[in-house]
Amino acid sequence: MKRRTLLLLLTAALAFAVPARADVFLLGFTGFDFENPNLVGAPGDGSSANYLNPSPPAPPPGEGYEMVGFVTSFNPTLFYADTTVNEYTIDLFGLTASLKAYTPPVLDVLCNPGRVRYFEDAKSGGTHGDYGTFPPNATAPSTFDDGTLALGGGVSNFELEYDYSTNQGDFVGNVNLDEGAYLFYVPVSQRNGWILGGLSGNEHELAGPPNPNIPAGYNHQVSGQCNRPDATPAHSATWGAIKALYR
Amino acid sequence: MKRTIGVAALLGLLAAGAFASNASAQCGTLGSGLLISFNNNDVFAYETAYDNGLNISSPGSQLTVVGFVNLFCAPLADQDATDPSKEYTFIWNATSAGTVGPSPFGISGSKWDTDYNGGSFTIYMGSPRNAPTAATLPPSPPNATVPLTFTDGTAILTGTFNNPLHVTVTKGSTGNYSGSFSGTYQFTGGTLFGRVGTSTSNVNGLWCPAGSGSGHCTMPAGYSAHPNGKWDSPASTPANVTTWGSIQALYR
Repeated sequence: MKRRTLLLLLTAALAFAVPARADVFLLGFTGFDFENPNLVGAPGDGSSANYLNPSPPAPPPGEGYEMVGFVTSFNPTLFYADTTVNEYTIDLFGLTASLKAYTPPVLDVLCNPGRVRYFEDAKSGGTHGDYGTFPPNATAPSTFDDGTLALGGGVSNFELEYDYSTNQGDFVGNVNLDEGAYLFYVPVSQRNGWILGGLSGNEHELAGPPNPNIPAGYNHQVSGQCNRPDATPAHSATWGAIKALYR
Repeated sequence: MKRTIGVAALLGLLAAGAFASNASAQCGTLGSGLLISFNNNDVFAYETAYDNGLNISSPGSQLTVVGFVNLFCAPLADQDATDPSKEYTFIWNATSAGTVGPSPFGISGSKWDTDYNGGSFTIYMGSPRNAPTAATLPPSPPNATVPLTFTDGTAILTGTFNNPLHVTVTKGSTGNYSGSFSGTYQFTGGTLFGRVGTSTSNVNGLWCPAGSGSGHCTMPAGYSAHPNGKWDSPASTPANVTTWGSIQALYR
């Protein structure tokens, strides 16, 4: 009886706790983004008229968003990594513009679902990630999506904002992890999370100062991270429902 | 007892490696710009007058950002940010010019823009590791450990931000929050100053506002945002004043 009461009290404490949706860091990344396919304007032209056009004015399926880069930090409880022998890269791809609104100076683009993948590639015998210029090219994305597919997932509700007056922006999307050799490290309850990125500068845009660190043909520097939901979410329930669990 | 020590040691190693990345391979292609990365989860912003619910920074509010460096690239690549015996931490200070917003944009988005002026920063190398991580961050800064434990050790680099350091917080048309920061800086001192020089370069990245909505970053009470980003390499390498004798000595 005492044990049953204790269980009830414990469950009640969990159930009536303030619903908290704490996020958990999965990994951080840096890199550069580009249009793929780029159907309107020159490669690297991020001007409002030529950047991420849905169809029309671009031909179907619309212009696409892709980002390649390096995973620079990890949560070792969710992502297995050995940076002494491997390098880790990211490829965010397959996102095609579905809706675009330009409210000067801010561009707002919604995208159809795509994917994000994190790869592990041996430093010895593997191919080092190489941005090159005017992607897609001989080394990008190919040197960022080779090796072992460590983790990957579908990206939905992807939205990108960019302010041409300050030459900075951001993106955010939901990510459902569903593939990769290390997927089993991530508890099922933490596979639906989100991806966030800050965007800065553009070498080839008409507005703003040049950013010499962006390789030709790329649009923005990107720094971001993937977050997962808390492993132990609480939810509301009635006393009746709680007691029914133990009858 | 041994098992307890073993578990504690393992947890310690995990904590120390929470942003493990000691490989220069992660710096990327030479020339892509990355110099110092704080592209990890253990970076925290707070202000003296910031309303988290409204995303509003009052004019004159003092911004402080503290955090860990997780990666150094050339010419600082010999600094191992993952060495468990020491920590590389930093602090920023700047003054808010006040937030403009919410401003509507796009399909149904909102944004809040804040300029921070008069900014400066210092990067420290200290030992042992004593600064809190996201898992152990105490609320209500400034407190006994924040920013104190982020500012102990040797100042390896100091610098200033050019005006303004610009922060944008957005609530997109899908209802998700995000944000970014962008600015330029130059180094002014520190024990490693001779390697980097005074050229201006970029500092930028993600600015994840604190809160409980989708895209928000969950933080203890009293913090305003979680920044995630990097200092880019200065455009030129430094030159040192020397004598002909010293130069000739290099070739003898």
